[in-house]
Amino acid sequence: MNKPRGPELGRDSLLPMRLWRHRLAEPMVLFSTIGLLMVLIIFSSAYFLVSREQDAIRQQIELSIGDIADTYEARVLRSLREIDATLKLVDFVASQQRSGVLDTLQERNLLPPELIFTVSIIDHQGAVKESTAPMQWAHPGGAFAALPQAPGLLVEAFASEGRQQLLFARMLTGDRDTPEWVTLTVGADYFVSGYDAGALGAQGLLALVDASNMTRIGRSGSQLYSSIAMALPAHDEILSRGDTPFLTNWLGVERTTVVRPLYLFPLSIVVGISVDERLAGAKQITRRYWQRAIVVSASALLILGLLARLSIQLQRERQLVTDERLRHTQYIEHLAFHDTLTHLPNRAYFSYLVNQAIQQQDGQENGFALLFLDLDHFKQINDSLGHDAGDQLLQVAAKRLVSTVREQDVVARLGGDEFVILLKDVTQCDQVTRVTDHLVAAMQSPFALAGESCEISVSIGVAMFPTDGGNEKTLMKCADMAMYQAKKAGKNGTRFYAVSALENL
Amino acid sequence: MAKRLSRWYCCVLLSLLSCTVYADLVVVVSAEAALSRIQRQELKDLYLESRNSLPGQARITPIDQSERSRERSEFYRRYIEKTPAQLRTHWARLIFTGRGQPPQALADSQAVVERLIRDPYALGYIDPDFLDERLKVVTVE
Repeated sequence: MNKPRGPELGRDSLLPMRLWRHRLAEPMVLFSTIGLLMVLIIFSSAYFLVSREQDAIRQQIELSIGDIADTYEARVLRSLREIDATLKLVDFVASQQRSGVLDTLQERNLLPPELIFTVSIIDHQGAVKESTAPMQWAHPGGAFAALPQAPGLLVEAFASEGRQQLLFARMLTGDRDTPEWVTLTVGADYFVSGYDAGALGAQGLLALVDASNMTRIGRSGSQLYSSIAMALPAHDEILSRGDTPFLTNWLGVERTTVVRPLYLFPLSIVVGISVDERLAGAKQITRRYWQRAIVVSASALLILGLLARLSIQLQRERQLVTDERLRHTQYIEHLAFHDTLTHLPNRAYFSYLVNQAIQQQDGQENGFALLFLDLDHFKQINDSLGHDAGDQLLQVAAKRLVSTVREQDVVARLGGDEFVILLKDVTQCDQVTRVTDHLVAAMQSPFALAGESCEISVSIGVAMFPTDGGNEKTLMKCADMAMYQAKKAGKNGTRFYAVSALENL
Repeated sequence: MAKRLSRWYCCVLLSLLSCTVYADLVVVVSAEAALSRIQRQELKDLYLESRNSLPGQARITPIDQSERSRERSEFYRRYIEKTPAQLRTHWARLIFTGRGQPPQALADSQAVVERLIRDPYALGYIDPDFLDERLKVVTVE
């Protein structure tokens, strides 16, 4: 019965949205969202930096590989032209004299260093006529058959004493009975001796390939390769493609590769740089980026965590204060609308409730009854047993009244020994009589006060709405009058206003 | 024991001495040349880096001998401290990259002598048997 504390506040239609916004502002939700966003931002920027670093490395590879290919191409071309010029020079001298051709040239220091190059003149039977090297020309039988039968440069590869050799040959021109050839052999590794580990790394690639993409000689680090096919685009395709580097995978290493066919020679140069090797060099940088991202996000989360803790503490304290204030307000409200002794609604609140009932009942059939109760002989008990006993009696009586009526009915104390009861949804007098009989009976059972048992009774006056009056004031007055009639009629009983009014007439 | 050891040491010392005393290779220039002593490092520079001058000296043209000659292998072993394979790799790289040419190689000591007396700026190494008054031995320090 004590539930309604007072006039109700109007409901807020925007409440769900406010609740939602309130939820978002809650420290746990707010801080974990911010933390998640921060970590996301930190890691995505780290990812961005790492990928930018890697892109820069790839770009750098493409730039440097172009330079390396330019240099390599120029050196190979120069070497090949020097070799061809030597062959043509030998041809020229051979057309002037029959023998001692190489000696003549050597005297004038016109032959390439014998340390690297061997120049020979071969007759039509494959025998060495002259040579800068003393040993017999140990050339496999097949090569003699391969010597060109027409003017022009031949480039052949063969292995001798476990070393790959390149053979360059020209048929001697001039008037002679049987064909003769001038040959120049050079260790194939000569053409990859310019391998610079500083620029190409340990897994880079320098190679000379022929028109069918077979390696004449290749070098990666200090490893030499020869006669291994390379999966490169066809010759014509390379020519039409231009100079864009592309990725190749040769013998298990992926490389950014440039292929350049050589002008006027049936060879192409291949330059490759291992992408993985270069990226591995940058691994330290990328690892540092990730480490920094972890450290930064960890410290950010730590700070956020501390802030969140502080915020939660603050919120809890504020909640405590708010709760305290609310309790206080509720207490004040309760004081304003309730009787302090019995905790029943007081006159003001009862008056509000009656008016509310009148308003709600407006236009409807259902009425209500207003009961005015006055304890008989209360003054004697108060005087004989003391005020404390009187107060105790009032409290017990109030409890009995509340437990006798229904849940929806209102019991209030006006002051002294006067109580009022609002019986809702009653129209018939006999409905009321049933309740009042119970009330009278409840009061008749003895009270245990200050170690003594004492008995009292109650007089009740009833006014009905709307038959006896249309407003609170009239109804109260009617009920009061009916109660007075009940007292006059010998107490411990009930009188209806309508009946007592008839009696008065 | 000690006696035996010391005798052994003597043997070693003697053989070493004979090596230096009976050096079967000399670095020489023309008798007209100003050069009389040369640093080992300078010799290396001349024969490996295709230098044709030394600090404080006029130009010098190093002369080599044929790859097959005994003098050459002795010279490179003793003064330049390079094996033939190392030498090949070294010169292949320099020739290919266009940074140098090896010294001109002549057939034998006789050819070197003939070249040196014609060219006061040339420097070579020969068998001591070919020494004569037209040549001057250069001390390698």
